[in-house]
Amino acid sequence: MKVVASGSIKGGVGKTASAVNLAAEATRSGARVLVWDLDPQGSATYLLRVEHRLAGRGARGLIAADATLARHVRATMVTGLHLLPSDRSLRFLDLHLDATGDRHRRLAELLQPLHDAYDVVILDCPAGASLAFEGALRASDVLLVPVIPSTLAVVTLAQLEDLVAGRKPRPELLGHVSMLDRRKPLQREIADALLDRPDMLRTVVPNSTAIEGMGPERGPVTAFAPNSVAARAYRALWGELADRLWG
Amino acid sequence: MPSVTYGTDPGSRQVLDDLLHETGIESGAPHRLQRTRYDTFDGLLHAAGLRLERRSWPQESCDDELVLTAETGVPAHLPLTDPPPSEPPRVLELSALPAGPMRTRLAAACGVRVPLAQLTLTSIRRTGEQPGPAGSPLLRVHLDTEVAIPGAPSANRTVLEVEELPGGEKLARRLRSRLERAGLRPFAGDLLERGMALAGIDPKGFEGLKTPALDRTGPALDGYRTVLQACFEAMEANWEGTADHLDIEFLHDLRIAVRRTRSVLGEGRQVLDPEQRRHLRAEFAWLGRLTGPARDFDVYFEEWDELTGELSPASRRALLPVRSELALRREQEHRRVTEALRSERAAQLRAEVRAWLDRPEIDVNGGRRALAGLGKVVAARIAAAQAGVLEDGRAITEESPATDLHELRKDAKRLRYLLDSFGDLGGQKRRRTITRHLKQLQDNLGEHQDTQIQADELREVAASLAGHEPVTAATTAAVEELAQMLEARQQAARAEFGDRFAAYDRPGPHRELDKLLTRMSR
Ligand SMILES: Nc1ncnc2c1ncn2[C@@H]1O[C@H](COP(=O)(O)OP(=O)(O)OP(=O)(O)O)[C@@H](O)[C@H]1O
Ligand SMILES: [Mg+2]
Repeated sequence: MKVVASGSIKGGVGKTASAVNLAAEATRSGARVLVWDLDPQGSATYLLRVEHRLAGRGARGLIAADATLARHVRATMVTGLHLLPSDRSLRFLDLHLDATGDRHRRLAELLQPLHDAYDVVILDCPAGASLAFEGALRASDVLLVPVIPSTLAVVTLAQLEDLVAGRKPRPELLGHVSMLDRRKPLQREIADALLDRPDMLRTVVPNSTAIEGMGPERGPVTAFAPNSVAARAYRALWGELADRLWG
Repeated sequence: MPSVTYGTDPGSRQVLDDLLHETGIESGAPHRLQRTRYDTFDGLLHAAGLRLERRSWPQESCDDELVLTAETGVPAHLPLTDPPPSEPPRVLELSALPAGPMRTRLAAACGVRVPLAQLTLTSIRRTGEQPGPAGSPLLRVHLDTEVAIPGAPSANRTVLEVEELPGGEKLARRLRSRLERAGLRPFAGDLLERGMALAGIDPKGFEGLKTPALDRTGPALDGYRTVLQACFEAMEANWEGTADHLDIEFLHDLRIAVRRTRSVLGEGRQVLDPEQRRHLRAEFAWLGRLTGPARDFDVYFEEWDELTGELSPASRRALLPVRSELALRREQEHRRVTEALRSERAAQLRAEVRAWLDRPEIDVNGGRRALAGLGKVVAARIAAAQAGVLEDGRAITEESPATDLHELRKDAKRLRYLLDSFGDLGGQKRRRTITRHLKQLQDNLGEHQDTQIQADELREVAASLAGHEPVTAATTAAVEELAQMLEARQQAARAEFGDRFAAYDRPGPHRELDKLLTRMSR
């Protein structure tokens, strides 16, 4: 089982879009996939058409000592793709994690029993540094960071690099260009520079109306626009990531 | 509880429709579905708790897909974007699948074997879903009608499958008990599993050459025939797969059966009819000789990475022309095997053996000791074989030539085959202990001889390439490096031989063998 955290310190960069679309592509490529929506906003839960609610005692129950994640898992409208839904109470996840004995390791521990049931778990992380993000990094093989090409992008990457450096185990940090607007010369220039970095995947996810359509359509782009540029981009992005994970 | 399947009869269709309607699960649009089950010849996927099938929808434009289901967890789906036309392929090439978890899981379970099509069935399928509050499904129900299973009586079968999804456990439980109250009976496994049972295909697959139970006091001839029968069945089972070269294990298993056949024939003096024995020995010797080189090349390729693992990357690259030449020769040998297995001579041999095995005992001619007790006859042979091992082994000194060790290897093989075929007559546990001791010696002798053969072969290939290919000095040097590594291994085996033989030639193992023989000939 490989764990990929879709995360960044920055908000609104396409973390959830990547998590949901890559999960759909991974499922289509023969993987058994679970998305864990760690964001109290529940965007991934909404997009995958699952009730925004955890059974039992919400976030507290989710990470309690006797908790099993499996009881919270739901099927989605994508055959073979499962979701661990969000809940409003995840706002207090950090507090609950703080109260557990092993606050950094708890998420990894919870995932352990799912090891044989899934090939990939994608964690959709809320923006910003938090205990939950720490825990997600601890549990992950890869930290996947969507990067909008802007002058500050490199700074964000450097901060994240600092965050993962020196960890054991250390997740591999991989960025990918997100929401590229080709009509803007500066964006193109920055994107080209980003693509020279060894920690960036080659596939660029362009700014696309299909991706904006995920909200109203409630689903991954492959489900309603399988031949769109965006769907093809996520397919290629997943291909690259799969090669890193199993190649 | 992922899925439960129910068999129904045409009469319960109305009940079904009502139930589906009442539970809010309307049957969806009908689609013709074709499902083919795949597993290796020896059922490795089944043994690993996996089920692999290829699904296609012949009347629709959507892609075929592979579905891999484990005992627990969600089934994995892989669309196949360039499907071959109409028929599902007989062999599923794992190397053609995209890199990813499905290929990784299948490769881990299958090893060197390939998944083969076992059974194809078709149906008209309707699928209904019960959606949860936000739209995603909690429960899926598939209704298969007009199920056609080749090799099974074709009724107008209707089958219902309740696929439980996470979050829908309660719903599924309710539906299942409803169905059962309405008189529908669940059966184990899914429709394909059921189809396998109806078509009489055992999912366990080929289980290797069987060691049949023998009667110690019965006539030797019957015992010999029983063992030959088991060998012949294993040979027949692997015949087509070897001829088609589906994967390397077919040839391997075929050769194991041929080898044991030859051993039993070899030990059949005075038991089998002399004329027939002579003839069959000649024919099976032909088969053995003919299939030997192909197997040697297969092993070469299996072990290539390990063999060259200690060389520098540059040396490994320099060996590529040699590897290609070996690959060519291997292909050639496999073609020879295919031709031979499809030849008139092979067909005659098979027909003859089959007829001989089918003949009632009373009509079978034997040698002078055909009616002597099997245990006594075989015990004498084993004692003679052991005497051969000890005599030749004790005569070996540090100065002895390599050929003496090769001779000893033959003695040890003779003993080993006898034990494999008949040793259980003296007690299975004891036979295993003795075989374990003997195997230690055999491994040493095998290493000693095989490394030499491989070194010679490598040098020979390099020399033959030098004639007409632009072989660089680097290639020649790499071959020499590898050959010397092999020879170093040979020398190490030679140095170890004394200890290995001494470990075999000890009172402990001897006593075990004596006890085995005593019990055998009681
Ligand atoms: N490539 C794209 N082209 C156009 N719009 C996009 C693209 N990727 C994401 N969006 C839109 O941008 C918004 C933010 O995307 P998303 O929710 O994936 O980001 P996020 O990093 O998960 O945000 P948050 O920090 O709030 O979790 C959404 O409205 C989404 O539809
Ligand atoms: Mg988000």
